[in-house]
Amino acid sequence: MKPAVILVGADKGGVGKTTVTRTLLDYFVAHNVPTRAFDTEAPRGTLKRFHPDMTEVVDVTTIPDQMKIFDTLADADAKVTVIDVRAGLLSSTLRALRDIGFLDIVKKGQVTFAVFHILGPSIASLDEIAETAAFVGDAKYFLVKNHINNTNFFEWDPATYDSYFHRIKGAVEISVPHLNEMACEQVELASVPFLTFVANKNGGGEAANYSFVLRGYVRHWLGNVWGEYDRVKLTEISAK
Amino acid sequence: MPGGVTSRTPLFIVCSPQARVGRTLTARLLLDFFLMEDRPVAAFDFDAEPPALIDFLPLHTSNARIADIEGQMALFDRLIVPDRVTKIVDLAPTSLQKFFSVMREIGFIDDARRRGIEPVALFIAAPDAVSQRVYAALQMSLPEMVLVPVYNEAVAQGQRARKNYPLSNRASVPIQIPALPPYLYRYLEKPPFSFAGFRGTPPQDIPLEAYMELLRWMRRVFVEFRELELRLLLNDVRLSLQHDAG
Repeated sequence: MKPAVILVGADKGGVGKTTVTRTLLDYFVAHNVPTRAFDTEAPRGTLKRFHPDMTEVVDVTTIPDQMKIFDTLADADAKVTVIDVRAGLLSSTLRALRDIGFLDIVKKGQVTFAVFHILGPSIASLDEIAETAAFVGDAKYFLVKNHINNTNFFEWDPATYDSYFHRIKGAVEISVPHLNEMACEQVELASVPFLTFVANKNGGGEAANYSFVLRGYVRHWLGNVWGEYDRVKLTEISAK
Repeated sequence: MPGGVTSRTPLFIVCSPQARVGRTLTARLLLDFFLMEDRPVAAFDFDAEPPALIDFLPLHTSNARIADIEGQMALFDRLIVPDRVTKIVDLAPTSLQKFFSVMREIGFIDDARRRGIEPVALFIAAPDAVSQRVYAALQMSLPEMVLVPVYNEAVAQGQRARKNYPLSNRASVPIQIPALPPYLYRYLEKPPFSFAGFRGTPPQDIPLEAYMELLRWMRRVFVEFRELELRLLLNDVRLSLQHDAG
Protein backbone atom coordinates (compact mmCIF):
# COMPACT_ATOMS: atom_id res chain seq x y z
CA MET A 1 0.00 0.00 0.00
CA LYS A 2 1.50 3.31 -1.00
CA PRO A 3 1.53 6.17 1.46
CA ALA A 4 -1.03 8.93 1.26
CA VAL A 5 -0.67 12.54 2.27
CA ILE A 6 -3.68 14.73 2.96
CA LEU A 7 -3.12 18.45 3.23
CA VAL A 8 -5.86 20.42 4.97
CA GLY A 9 -5.57 24.14 4.51
CA ALA A 10 -6.88 27.54 3.56
CA ASP A 11 -5.27 30.87 3.09
CA LYS A 12 -7.77 32.46 5.41
CA GLY A 13 -8.00 31.83 9.14
CA GLY A 14 -11.12 30.83 11.06
CA VAL A 15 -12.71 28.70 8.36
CA GLY A 16 -12.50 25.46 10.35
CA LYS A 17 -9.40 23.71 9.05
CA THR A 18 -8.62 22.04 12.32
CA THR A 19 -12.23 20.97 12.78
CA VAL A 20 -12.21 19.29 9.38
CA THR A 21 -8.84 17.69 10.15
CA ARG A 22 -10.29 16.29 13.37
CA THR A 23 -13.18 14.72 11.49
CA LEU A 24 -10.69 13.16 9.06
CA LEU A 25 -8.62 11.67 11.88
CA ASP A 26 -11.74 10.27 13.52
CA TYR A 27 -12.84 8.86 10.17
CA PHE A 28 -9.58 7.01 9.59
CA VAL A 29 -9.45 5.77 13.19
CA ALA A 30 -12.98 4.42 12.82
CA HIS A 31 -11.98 2.69 9.57
CA ASN A 32 -8.85 1.18 11.15
CA VAL A 33 -6.53 3.06 8.81
CA PRO A 34 -3.17 3.71 10.53
CA THR A 35 -2.87 7.48 10.48
CA ARG A 36 -0.54 10.17 11.79
CA ALA A 37 -1.03 13.91 11.84
CA PHE A 38 1.13 16.99 11.76
CA ASP A 39 -0.06 20.24 13.25
CA THR A 40 1.72 23.18 11.68
CA GLU A 41 0.52 25.71 14.22
CA ALA A 42 3.93 25.68 15.92
CA PRO A 43 4.46 26.17 18.77
CA ARG A 44 0.78 26.02 19.95
CA GLY A 45 -0.83 23.13 18.16
CA THR A 46 -4.63 23.13 18.39
CA LEU A 47 -4.91 19.77 16.66
CA LYS A 48 -2.50 18.19 19.11
CA ARG A 49 -4.81 19.20 21.96
CA PHE A 50 -7.52 16.95 20.51
CA HIS A 51 -5.42 14.12 19.12
CA PRO A 52 -2.24 14.14 21.22
CA ASP A 53 -1.30 10.52 20.58
CA MET A 54 -1.18 10.77 16.82
CA THR A 55 -0.17 14.40 16.30
CA GLU A 56 3.17 16.12 16.18
CA VAL A 57 3.55 19.89 16.06
CA VAL A 58 5.90 21.03 13.30
CA ASP A 59 6.98 24.20 11.56
CA VAL A 60 6.35 23.28 7.97
CA THR A 61 8.41 26.22 6.71
CA THR A 62 11.65 24.75 8.11
CA ILE A 63 13.68 22.11 6.34
CA PRO A 64 14.19 19.82 9.37
CA ASP A 65 10.43 19.60 9.93
CA GLN A 66 9.76 19.10 6.22
CA MET A 67 12.21 16.17 6.42
CA LYS A 68 10.39 14.87 9.49
CA ILE A 69 7.19 14.66 7.48
CA PHE A 70 8.17 13.76 3.95
CA ASP A 71 11.33 11.70 4.43
CA THR A 72 9.43 9.29 6.66
CA LEU A 73 6.45 8.63 4.42
CA ALA A 74 7.60 5.22 3.24
CA ASP A 75 8.85 4.02 6.62
CA ALA A 76 6.12 5.22 8.95
CA ASP A 77 3.64 2.69 10.36
CA ALA A 78 0.90 5.12 9.48
CA LYS A 79 -0.16 4.84 5.87
CA VAL A 80 -2.03 8.12 5.89
CA THR A 81 -0.36 11.38 6.87
CA VAL A 82 -2.71 14.28 7.54
CA ILE A 83 -1.20 17.76 7.69
CA ASP A 84 -3.21 20.60 9.20
CA VAL A 85 -1.67 23.62 7.50
CA ARG A 86 -1.66 26.89 9.39
CA ALA A 87 -3.81 29.70 8.00
CA GLY A 88 -2.11 31.59 5.23
CA LEU A 89 0.41 28.86 4.48
CA LEU A 90 -1.51 26.70 2.00
CA SER A 91 -0.06 28.22 -1.16
CA SER A 92 3.44 28.49 0.25
CA THR A 93 3.31 24.91 1.52
CA LEU A 94 2.24 23.68 -1.90
CA ARG A 95 5.04 25.72 -3.42
CA ALA A 96 7.50 24.12 -0.99
CA LEU A 97 6.18 20.66 -1.89
CA ARG A 98 6.81 21.41 -5.53
CA ASP A 99 10.30 22.69 -4.77
CA ILE A 100 11.35 19.62 -2.79
CA GLY A 101 10.13 17.34 -5.57
CA PHE A 102 7.16 15.93 -3.66
CA LEU A 103 4.74 16.78 -6.43
CA ASP A 104 6.98 14.87 -8.85
CA ILE A 105 6.73 11.65 -6.84
CA VAL A 106 2.98 12.18 -6.71
CA LYS A 107 3.00 12.48 -10.49
CA LYS A 108 4.94 9.21 -10.72
CA GLY A 109 2.28 7.56 -8.60
CA GLN A 110 4.55 6.74 -5.68
CA VAL A 111 2.45 8.69 -3.19
CA THR A 112 -1.25 9.50 -3.12
CA PHE A 113 -1.80 13.17 -2.48
CA ALA A 114 -5.05 14.91 -1.55
CA VAL A 115 -5.76 18.52 -0.75
CA PHE A 116 -8.70 19.55 1.41
CA HIS A 117 -9.13 23.20 0.65
CA ILE A 118 -11.42 24.71 3.26
CA LEU A 119 -13.38 27.61 1.83
CA GLY A 120 -14.52 30.67 3.67
CA PRO A 121 -17.60 32.61 2.62
CA SER A 122 -15.73 35.52 1.06
CA ILE A 123 -14.68 36.15 -2.52
CA ALA A 124 -11.08 35.91 -1.28
CA SER A 125 -11.63 32.17 -0.94
CA LEU A 126 -12.36 31.95 -4.66
CA ASP A 127 -9.08 33.68 -5.41
CA GLU A 128 -7.38 31.05 -3.25
CA ILE A 129 -8.77 28.36 -5.55
CA ALA A 130 -7.16 30.03 -8.52
CA GLU A 131 -3.86 30.34 -6.68
CA THR A 132 -3.90 26.76 -5.49
CA ALA A 133 -4.89 25.32 -8.86
CA ALA A 134 -1.37 25.72 -10.21
CA PHE A 135 0.01 23.16 -7.75
CA VAL A 136 -2.57 20.43 -7.51
CA GLY A 137 -2.62 18.93 -10.96
CA ASP A 138 -1.99 15.36 -9.78
CA ALA A 139 -3.64 15.64 -6.40
CA LYS A 140 -7.15 14.73 -5.44
CA TYR A 141 -8.59 18.14 -4.82
CA PHE A 142 -11.49 18.58 -2.44
CA LEU A 143 -13.16 21.94 -2.01
CA VAL A 144 -14.75 21.93 1.41
CA LYS A 145 -17.63 24.23 2.24
CA ASN A 146 -17.60 24.26 5.99
CA HIS A 147 -21.00 25.19 7.44
CA ILE A 148 -20.12 24.20 10.98
CA ASN A 149 -20.47 27.79 12.15
CA ASN A 150 -23.57 28.31 9.99
CA THR A 151 -21.48 30.07 7.37
CA ASN A 152 -23.52 30.83 4.32
CA PHE A 153 -21.93 30.96 0.96
CA PHE A 154 -24.59 32.95 -0.77
CA GLU A 155 -22.46 35.98 -1.32
CA TRP A 156 -20.86 34.00 -4.10
CA ASP A 157 -22.36 34.30 -7.50
CA PRO A 158 -22.87 30.66 -8.55
CA ALA A 159 -21.51 31.34 -12.03
CA THR A 160 -18.37 32.91 -10.59
CA TYR A 161 -17.92 29.98 -8.21
CA ASP A 162 -18.35 27.49 -11.03
CA SER A 163 -15.77 29.26 -13.15
CA TYR A 164 -13.22 28.93 -10.33
CA PHE A 165 -14.31 25.42 -9.42
CA HIS A 166 -13.82 24.14 -12.94
CA ARG A 167 -10.28 25.47 -13.16
CA ILE A 168 -9.19 22.40 -11.26
CA LYS A 169 -9.76 19.22 -13.17
CA GLY A 170 -11.49 16.57 -11.10
CA ALA A 171 -12.14 18.90 -8.17
CA VAL A 172 -14.79 17.50 -5.83
CA GLU A 173 -16.96 19.53 -3.49
CA ILE A 174 -17.56 18.42 0.09
CA SER A 175 -20.07 20.03 2.40
CA VAL A 176 -19.56 19.94 6.16
CA PRO A 177 -22.92 20.62 7.82
CA HIS A 178 -23.72 22.89 10.72
CA LEU A 179 -23.16 21.63 14.25
CA ASN A 180 -25.11 23.05 17.15
CA GLU A 181 -23.01 25.78 18.79
CA MET A 182 -23.23 24.39 22.29
CA ALA A 183 -22.30 20.90 21.14
CA CYS A 184 -19.33 22.36 19.30
CA GLU A 185 -18.30 24.36 22.34
CA GLN A 186 -18.56 21.40 24.70
CA VAL A 187 -16.30 19.26 22.51
CA GLU A 188 -13.82 22.15 22.48
CA LEU A 189 -13.94 22.34 26.26
CA ALA A 190 -13.56 18.59 26.59
CA SER A 191 -10.51 18.69 24.27
CA VAL A 192 -11.14 15.18 23.00
CA PRO A 193 -11.76 13.73 19.54
CA PHE A 194 -15.39 13.85 18.38
CA LEU A 195 -15.56 10.05 18.61
CA THR A 196 -14.39 10.11 22.21
CA PHE A 197 -17.00 12.73 23.06
CA VAL A 198 -19.73 10.63 21.46
CA ALA A 199 -18.54 7.63 23.48
CA ASN A 200 -18.80 9.76 26.67
CA LYS A 201 -15.12 9.34 27.55
CA ASN A 202 -12.54 11.86 28.69
CA GLY A 203 -9.03 12.24 27.32
CA GLY A 204 -7.78 9.49 29.61
CA GLY A 205 -10.37 7.02 28.34
CA GLU A 206 -12.42 7.17 31.54
CA ALA A 207 -16.20 7.62 31.66
CA ALA A 208 -17.21 11.27 31.36
CA ASN A 209 -20.48 13.04 31.98
CA TYR A 210 -21.23 14.87 28.76
CA SER A 211 -24.82 15.73 27.91
CA PHE A 212 -26.64 12.92 26.11
CA VAL A 213 -28.32 15.49 23.89
CA LEU A 214 -25.05 17.12 22.86
CA ARG A 215 -23.44 13.74 22.22
CA GLY A 216 -26.43 12.86 20.08
CA TYR A 217 -26.04 16.02 18.03
CA VAL A 218 -22.30 15.41 17.58
CA ARG A 219 -22.91 11.78 16.57
CA HIS A 220 -25.53 12.82 14.03
CA TRP A 221 -23.31 15.58 12.63
CA LEU A 222 -20.23 13.36 12.47
CA GLY A 223 -22.30 10.73 10.66
CA ASN A 224 -23.26 13.30 8.06
CA VAL A 225 -19.65 14.46 7.62
CA TRP A 226 -18.51 10.88 7.21
CA GLY A 227 -21.32 10.37 4.75
CA GLU A 228 -19.63 13.02 2.63
CA TYR A 229 -16.27 11.24 2.98
CA ASP A 230 -17.89 7.97 1.97
CA ARG A 231 -19.47 9.70 -1.00
CA VAL A 232 -16.06 10.88 -2.27
CA LYS A 233 -14.60 7.41 -1.50
CA LEU A 234 -12.02 8.73 0.91
CA THR A 235 -10.97 5.31 2.13
CA GLU A 236 -9.77 4.52 -1.38
CA ILE A 237 -6.98 7.02 -0.84
CA SER A 238 -5.47 4.74 1.75
CA ALA A 239 -6.39 1.51 -0.03
CA LYS A 240 -4.29 1.99 -3.13
CA MET B 1 -40.61 -16.29 32.06
CA PRO B 2 -36.98 -16.66 30.88
CA GLY B 3 -34.42 -15.72 33.51
CA GLY B 4 -32.82 -12.97 31.44
CA VAL B 5 -36.00 -10.99 30.88
CA THR B 6 -36.43 -7.72 32.72
CA SER B 7 -39.11 -5.31 31.72
CA ARG B 8 -38.03 -1.96 30.39
CA THR B 9 -39.12 1.21 32.13
CA PRO B 10 -41.62 3.01 29.91
CA LEU B 11 -41.31 6.58 28.80
CA PHE B 12 -44.81 7.63 27.76
CA ILE B 13 -45.11 10.53 25.35
CA VAL B 14 -48.73 11.63 25.22
CA CYS B 15 -49.17 13.63 22.06
CA SER B 16 -51.43 15.09 19.41
CA PRO B 17 -51.07 17.88 16.86
CA GLN B 18 -54.48 19.17 17.99
CA ALA B 19 -55.56 20.91 21.16
CA ARG B 20 -58.62 19.88 23.18
CA VAL B 21 -58.66 16.22 22.20
CA GLY B 22 -57.94 14.81 25.68
CA ARG B 23 -54.16 14.75 25.62
CA THR B 24 -53.59 16.28 29.05
CA LEU B 25 -56.46 14.25 30.49
CA THR B 26 -54.76 11.07 29.24
CA ALA B 27 -51.43 12.20 30.72
CA ARG B 28 -53.15 12.96 34.05
CA LEU B 29 -54.83 9.58 34.15
CA LEU B 30 -51.54 7.87 33.40
CA LEU B 31 -49.76 9.82 36.11
CA ASP B 32 -52.56 9.04 38.58
CA PHE B 33 -52.35 5.38 37.58
CA PHE B 34 -48.72 5.16 38.67
CA LEU B 35 -49.18 7.35 41.73
CA MET B 36 -52.09 5.26 42.99
CA GLU B 37 -49.91 2.17 42.79
CA ASP B 38 -47.06 3.95 44.59
CA ARG B 39 -44.77 3.40 41.64
CA PRO B 40 -41.99 5.91 40.91
CA VAL B 41 -43.09 8.33 38.21
CA ALA B 42 -42.16 11.78 36.94
CA ALA B 43 -44.02 13.94 34.44
CA PHE B 44 -42.98 16.72 32.08
CA ASP B 45 -45.33 19.39 30.86
CA PHE B 46 -44.99 21.58 27.79
CA ASP B 47 -48.24 23.46 28.10
CA ALA B 48 -48.05 27.13 28.96
CA GLU B 49 -51.80 27.60 29.21
CA PRO B 50 -53.67 26.47 32.31
CA PRO B 51 -55.10 24.13 33.24
CA ALA B 52 -52.03 22.10 32.36
CA LEU B 53 -50.71 18.86 33.81
CA ILE B 54 -48.53 20.80 36.21
CA ASP B 55 -51.60 22.56 37.61
CA PHE B 56 -53.19 19.25 38.52
CA LEU B 57 -50.16 17.37 39.81
CA PRO B 58 -47.50 19.99 40.58
CA LEU B 59 -45.49 17.81 42.95
CA HIS B 60 -44.81 15.25 40.25
CA THR B 61 -44.53 17.45 37.18
CA SER B 62 -41.74 19.64 35.79
CA ASN B 63 -41.96 22.26 33.07
CA ALA B 64 -40.21 21.34 29.85
CA ARG B 65 -39.26 23.14 26.67
CA ILE B 66 -37.77 22.00 23.41
CA ALA B 67 -37.13 25.11 21.31
CA ASP B 68 -33.61 25.81 22.59
CA ILE B 69 -30.65 23.58 23.31
CA GLU B 70 -30.74 24.24 27.05
CA GLY B 71 -34.35 23.05 27.21
CA GLN B 72 -33.53 19.99 25.11
CA MET B 73 -30.64 19.09 27.41
CA ALA B 74 -32.72 19.59 30.56
CA LEU B 75 -35.43 17.33 29.16
CA PHE B 76 -33.69 14.54 27.23
CA ASP B 77 -30.75 14.24 29.61
CA ARG B 78 -33.32 13.51 32.31
CA LEU B 79 -35.46 11.19 30.20
CA ILE B 80 -32.47 9.01 29.33
CA VAL B 81 -31.45 8.36 32.94
CA PRO B 82 -31.98 4.62 33.67
CA ASP B 83 -33.37 5.19 37.16
CA ARG B 84 -36.41 2.86 36.86
CA VAL B 85 -38.72 5.87 37.17
CA THR B 86 -41.55 5.83 34.65
CA LYS B 87 -41.66 9.15 32.83
CA ILE B 88 -44.64 10.81 31.22
CA VAL B 89 -44.35 13.67 28.74
CA ASP B 90 -47.45 15.72 28.03
CA LEU B 91 -46.36 17.00 24.63
CA ALA B 92 -48.12 20.16 23.49
CA PRO B 93 -49.06 20.43 19.79
CA THR B 94 -46.65 23.34 19.27
CA SER B 95 -43.72 21.24 20.49
CA LEU B 96 -44.62 17.95 18.81
CA GLN B 97 -42.66 18.30 15.61
CA LYS B 98 -39.51 19.62 17.26
CA PHE B 99 -39.63 16.99 20.02
CA PHE B 100 -39.69 14.04 17.65
CA SER B 101 -37.23 15.66 15.29
CA VAL B 102 -34.70 16.11 18.12
CA MET B 103 -35.45 12.60 19.32
CA ARG B 104 -34.62 11.22 15.89
CA GLU B 105 -31.55 13.39 15.39
CA ILE B 106 -29.87 12.49 18.67
CA GLY B 107 -30.65 8.78 18.27
CA PHE B 108 -32.71 8.74 21.45
CA ILE B 109 -34.70 5.56 20.93
CA ASP B 110 -31.78 3.20 20.37
CA ASP B 111 -29.88 4.62 23.31
CA ALA B 112 -32.94 4.56 25.55
CA ARG B 113 -33.51 0.87 24.79
CA ARG B 114 -29.89 0.09 25.54
CA ARG B 115 -30.49 1.64 28.96
CA GLY B 116 -33.66 -0.32 29.63
CA ILE B 117 -36.10 2.46 28.70
CA GLU B 118 -38.95 1.92 26.23
CA PRO B 119 -40.26 5.09 24.56
CA VAL B 120 -43.98 4.71 23.89
CA ALA B 121 -45.91 7.44 22.08
CA LEU B 122 -49.59 7.58 23.07
CA PHE B 123 -51.10 9.38 20.11
CA ILE B 124 -54.61 10.77 20.49
CA ALA B 125 -56.42 9.31 17.48
CA ALA B 126 -58.61 12.29 16.65
CA PRO B 127 -60.82 12.12 13.56
CA ASP B 128 -59.22 15.08 11.74
CA ALA B 129 -56.92 14.72 8.74
CA VAL B 130 -53.99 16.58 10.30
CA SER B 131 -53.81 14.10 13.19
CA GLN B 132 -53.90 11.19 10.74
CA ARG B 133 -51.13 12.72 8.63
CA VAL B 134 -48.92 13.38 11.65
CA TYR B 135 -49.52 9.83 12.90
CA ALA B 136 -48.50 8.40 9.53
CA ALA B 137 -45.43 10.66 9.44
CA LEU B 138 -44.39 9.46 12.90
CA GLN B 139 -44.73 5.85 11.79
CA MET B 140 -42.47 6.62 8.85
CA SER B 141 -39.86 8.71 10.62
CA LEU B 142 -39.59 6.70 13.84
CA PRO B 143 -40.57 3.16 12.82
CA GLU B 144 -38.79 1.63 15.80
CA MET B 145 -40.91 3.54 18.33
CA VAL B 146 -43.96 1.92 19.90
CA LEU B 147 -46.80 4.12 18.65
CA VAL B 148 -50.11 3.54 20.39
CA PRO B 149 -53.31 5.19 19.15
CA VAL B 150 -55.51 6.44 21.98
CA TYR B 151 -59.20 6.44 21.13
CA ASN B 152 -60.82 9.03 23.27
CA GLU B 153 -64.51 8.34 22.85
CA ALA B 154 -65.28 11.90 23.87
CA VAL B 155 -63.77 13.13 20.60
CA ALA B 156 -64.05 10.15 18.26
CA GLN B 157 -66.01 6.96 17.97
CA GLY B 158 -63.64 4.03 17.81
CA GLN B 159 -64.75 2.02 14.81
CA ARG B 160 -64.45 4.70 12.17
CA ALA B 161 -61.18 6.05 13.51
CA ARG B 162 -59.44 2.69 13.70
CA LYS B 163 -58.90 2.23 10.02
CA ASN B 164 -57.19 5.62 9.86
CA TYR B 165 -54.65 4.66 12.48
CA PRO B 166 -52.98 1.45 11.33
CA LEU B 167 -50.90 -0.23 14.02
CA SER B 168 -47.11 -0.18 13.89
CA ASN B 169 -46.15 -3.32 15.75
CA ARG B 170 -47.31 -5.93 18.25
CA ALA B 171 -47.06 -3.63 21.25
CA SER B 172 -49.08 -0.93 19.54
CA VAL B 173 -52.56 -2.16 20.40
CA PRO B 174 -54.82 0.86 20.91
CA ILE B 175 -56.08 2.27 24.18
CA GLN B 176 -59.69 3.20 24.64
CA ILE B 177 -60.70 6.09 26.89
CA PRO B 178 -64.45 5.68 27.48
CA ALA B 179 -66.66 8.74 27.28
CA LEU B 180 -67.94 10.21 30.53
CA PRO B 181 -71.36 11.75 31.00
CA PRO B 182 -70.70 15.40 30.09
CA TYR B 183 -71.66 16.81 33.49
CA LEU B 184 -68.79 14.92 35.13
CA TYR B 185 -66.08 16.70 33.14
CA ARG B 186 -66.56 19.85 35.20
CA TYR B 187 -65.18 18.03 38.24
CA LEU B 188 -62.29 16.59 36.31
CA GLU B 189 -61.24 19.83 34.69
CA LYS B 190 -60.88 21.83 37.87
CA PRO B 191 -57.33 21.75 39.30
CA PRO B 192 -56.04 20.25 41.46
CA PHE B 193 -58.41 17.32 40.88
CA SER B 194 -56.47 14.09 41.12
CA PHE B 195 -57.69 10.57 41.77
CA ALA B 196 -54.39 9.81 43.48
CA GLY B 197 -54.92 12.81 45.76
CA PHE B 198 -58.10 11.39 47.28
CA ARG B 199 -56.76 7.94 48.05
CA GLY B 200 -60.24 6.49 48.27
CA THR B 201 -61.68 9.31 50.37
CA PRO B 202 -64.47 11.06 48.48
CA PRO B 203 -63.77 14.78 48.06
CA GLN B 204 -66.20 17.08 49.82
CA ASP B 205 -66.99 19.27 46.79
CA ILE B 206 -68.11 16.39 44.56
CA PRO B 207 -71.41 14.58 45.15
CA LEU B 208 -70.80 10.99 46.18
CA GLU B 209 -72.72 9.58 43.24
CA ALA B 210 -70.67 11.62 40.76
CA TYR B 211 -67.48 10.62 42.50
CA MET B 212 -68.37 6.93 42.30
CA GLU B 213 -69.14 7.30 38.62
CA LEU B 214 -65.75 8.95 38.11
CA LEU B 215 -64.04 6.11 39.99
CA ARG B 216 -65.78 3.48 37.83
CA TRP B 217 -64.67 5.34 34.72
CA MET B 218 -61.13 5.67 36.02
CA ARG B 219 -60.94 1.94 36.75
CA ARG B 220 -61.95 1.16 33.18
CA VAL B 221 -59.19 3.42 31.91
CA PHE B 222 -56.68 1.89 34.29
CA VAL B 223 -57.51 -1.58 32.96
CA GLU B 224 -56.49 -0.26 29.53
CA PHE B 225 -53.19 1.00 30.98
CA ARG B 226 -52.54 -2.36 32.66
CA GLU B 227 -53.15 -4.14 29.37
CA LEU B 228 -50.73 -1.79 27.65
CA GLU B 229 -48.09 -2.55 30.28
CA LEU B 230 -48.69 -6.25 29.79
CA ARG B 231 -48.30 -5.91 26.03
CA LEU B 232 -45.05 -4.01 26.50
CA LEU B 233 -43.81 -6.76 28.81
CA LEU B 234 -44.81 -9.47 26.33
CA ASN B 235 -43.03 -7.54 23.61
CA ASP B 236 -39.90 -7.51 25.80
CA VAL B 237 -40.20 -11.26 26.33
CA ARG B 238 -40.66 -11.85 22.62
CA LEU B 239 -37.64 -9.71 21.72
CA SER B 240 -35.60 -11.38 24.43
CA LEU B 241 -36.49 -14.84 23.09
CA GLN B 242 -35.64 -13.73 19.56
CA HIS B 243 -32.32 -12.42 20.85
CA ASP B 244 -31.58 -15.67 22.70
CA ALA B 245 -32.50 -17.73 19.63
CA GLY B 246 -30.38 -15.54 17.36
